[in-house]
Amino acid sequence: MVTGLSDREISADIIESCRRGDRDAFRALYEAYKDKVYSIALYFFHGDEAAAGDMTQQVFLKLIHGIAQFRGEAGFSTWLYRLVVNACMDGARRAKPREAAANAAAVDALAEPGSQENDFAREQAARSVRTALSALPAKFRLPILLRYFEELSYGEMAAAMNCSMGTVASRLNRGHKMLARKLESLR
Amino acid sequence: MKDEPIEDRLRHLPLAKAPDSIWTSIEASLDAPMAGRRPAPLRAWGIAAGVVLAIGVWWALRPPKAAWEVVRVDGKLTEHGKIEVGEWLQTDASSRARITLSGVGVGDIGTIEVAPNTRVRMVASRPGEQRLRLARGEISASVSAPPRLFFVDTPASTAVDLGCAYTMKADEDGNGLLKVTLGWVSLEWAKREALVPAGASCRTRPKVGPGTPYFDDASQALQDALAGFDFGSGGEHALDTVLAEARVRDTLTLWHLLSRVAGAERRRVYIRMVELVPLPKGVSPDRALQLDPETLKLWREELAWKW
Amino acid sequence: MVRLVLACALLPAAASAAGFTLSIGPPVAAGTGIKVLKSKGASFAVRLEECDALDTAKISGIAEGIVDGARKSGSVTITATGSPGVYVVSQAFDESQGVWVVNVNATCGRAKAGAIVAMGPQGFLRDGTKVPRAATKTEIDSALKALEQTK
Repeated sequence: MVTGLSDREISADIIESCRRGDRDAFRALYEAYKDKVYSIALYFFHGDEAAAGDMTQQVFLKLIHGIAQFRGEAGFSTWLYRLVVNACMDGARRAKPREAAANAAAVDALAEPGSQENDFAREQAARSVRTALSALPAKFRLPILLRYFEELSYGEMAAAMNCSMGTVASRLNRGHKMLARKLESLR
Repeated sequence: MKDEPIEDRLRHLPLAKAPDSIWTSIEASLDAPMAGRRPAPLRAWGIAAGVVLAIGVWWALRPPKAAWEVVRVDGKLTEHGKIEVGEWLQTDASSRARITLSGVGVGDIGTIEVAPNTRVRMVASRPGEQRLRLARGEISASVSAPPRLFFVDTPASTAVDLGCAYTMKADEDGNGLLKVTLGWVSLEWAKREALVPAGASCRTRPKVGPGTPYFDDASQALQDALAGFDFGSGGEHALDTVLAEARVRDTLTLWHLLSRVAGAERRRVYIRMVELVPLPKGVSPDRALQLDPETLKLWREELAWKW
Repeated sequence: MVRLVLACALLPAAASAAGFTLSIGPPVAAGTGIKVLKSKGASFAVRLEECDALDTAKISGIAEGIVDGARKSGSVTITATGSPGVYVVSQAFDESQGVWVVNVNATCGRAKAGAIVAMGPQGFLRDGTKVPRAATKTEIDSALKALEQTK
């Protein structure tokens, strides 16, 4: 139960190297986080690869341009995911109101490429979860994605989303319930 | 599969691979014309002077030996000095001392008041760790360091400063008592931990470590029963008394007891806690009873609003 | 159809406004960390609940008291703790003289919330008043009179 520092924190050396313009260091940073940031964006934007790619690029460019201002008061991943949250919510605000109409084919295509799903029932269940998740309103979808892709703690999510932990807990709770109801209707 | 909890189903979501084209686009943006020039190379005749200067600067800036300032007061006599790593400081019945905690790279981070008849030792002073050992006696600490920078070792626990003020006592047998007056202190020993907030205390015993924290205004019956539970043979009767005497504020004590009992006793503690304070949103009963660390942390942070 | 869509679009904003409130707790509820310690003499902690716009949320406070029969005001210091939406409130008035409450007000977007926190000899008292707007003078006077009667 002893609370310790997260071992996900990127090393101070890499951050310092990024500040000095070391491209290799930035590439290492990018490689460490690219799939998780991209996945969050892809699920958030209903499987739209172009939107997810744009958002991922935008986040990392903001990161490298802003790294001189990163003072290390919060963890690095908290800062990164705040950029992700802002980019997702900005994107959601700019997008046409089509939240309820998830692109079923695009969401379906989120199955891991080349995955050998011998268990048909398991694959069906996973597809249902993806569809239900895509149908959630943005403010409930985002904390679920932060929780299950990056396993952020409630405190880290509160810092990234700039809200209280109570709000995080409330949104996760409601998001879970909405997902459960949606999954029930998809049976 | 159909009955699998939603959280478990979400954990099975596959991670998507970011296409290589994203990095290509990022690099293209970074390779856009940059401001500034690389510094001109040093001329050969300047290099020797540069080396000499560098050595001189290194010598002047080499790390000083770690030491804390000490002011001793013996009756009317005041003496200024220092204590270095490995050294002991001891006060007698008529003297006391004040240690200013400071370190290279951290500056002054607080003070320790050393009471009469106390023996302390400076164990470490480095950027990530300022550590004192309390062999016996009493100290009062007021620390403004970031959390987990300042530590006090006693025979029965290590007090980890989380940004606070507190008093720590240890007797000749190594039995200790921590009282926190501001912020939080974490008491740690082996696999046992107690998080003690302002207004609360915690006893420690050698070979046992930290007991269960309690608020100072908890009933005497609760405090006595808790001592019996922690260090005596109090058993079920002691637990009965603690549960019966507990108020809303004593959920601090009950929260710690959750992980110190098992089975039916843990359920009893849990039930009493939710009788006193309804379970907060986001705290799953099953996960709480399974002592999931994240769940317990969230529960404690919500309970603190009632303390 | 257009009217129905418009009404539905308005509902979430109204729900958010209804949900915004303040939680009051002891200073330790503000968590661990350097910013909490620097608020020595902190009387209580405040948390903004159900606020979606913490970046632009505002909080303010003032102490109101009755000392020797006369109404007085005193200053308080509100310090952000580093946890989003969580603050500690420190008083600069002498609470040993007379009776005092701290009137806390906050805004979150268009939503407002307030709390009248009664002060006792050992710190804040739990049975304060919460309102979905700034507290009125009548409510503050009423809280002070109730405190006087308990002395």
